[in-house]
Amino acid sequence: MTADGAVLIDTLSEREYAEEHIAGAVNIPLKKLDARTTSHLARDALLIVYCYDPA
Amino acid sequence: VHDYAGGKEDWAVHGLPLEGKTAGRRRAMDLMVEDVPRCGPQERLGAVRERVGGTPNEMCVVVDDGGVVLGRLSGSAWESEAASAVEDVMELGPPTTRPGDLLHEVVERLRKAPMESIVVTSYGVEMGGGRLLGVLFRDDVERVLAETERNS
Repeated sequence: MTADGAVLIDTLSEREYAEEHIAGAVNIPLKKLDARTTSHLARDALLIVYCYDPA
Repeated sequence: VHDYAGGKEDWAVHGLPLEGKTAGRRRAMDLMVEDVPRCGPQERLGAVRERVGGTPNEMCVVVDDGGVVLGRLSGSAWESEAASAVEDVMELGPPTTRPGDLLHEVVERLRKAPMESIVVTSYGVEMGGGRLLGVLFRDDVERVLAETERNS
């Protein structure tokens, strides 16, 4: 998936990301998600965001 | 932008690759017993008792037609009148855990309560959540964690 250019974004905290995250994901905690922290992401890339679970 | 609604836990329960300090640790789904007694809320206690055994140590998970957990029969509930409807004597909304929850975290809940077992249910409401997947027994968790510690 990420090999096809998609970017997996883990929106959990830095601590939770360090403990465990989907292989290949980058960490942008939800509280820090803004124009500045996402400026490095390619605009035409498929961005897939996730958190812990659907509950 | 796509929202992966299932999240990290959905990924984990499907056995897909994870990275990080706790990646690879065992989860509730690895040890839960799937073949557990189950019954419906309208059934008579006597009939369920006959089928399951009905000793204080026995447990039966009460589910609706869709497999969603409603309650649990255990302990003194078995001593109620045989003609009682299960829904009138069951423990409502028993404690549950998720299949992707880490064993070392679940065992803390089991010890603190204390509980001998906990029902494992599926995630979320919109994705068919709350369905019975199995039961996790504290003895099994304690044994596996002790083995893991000895081997590390």
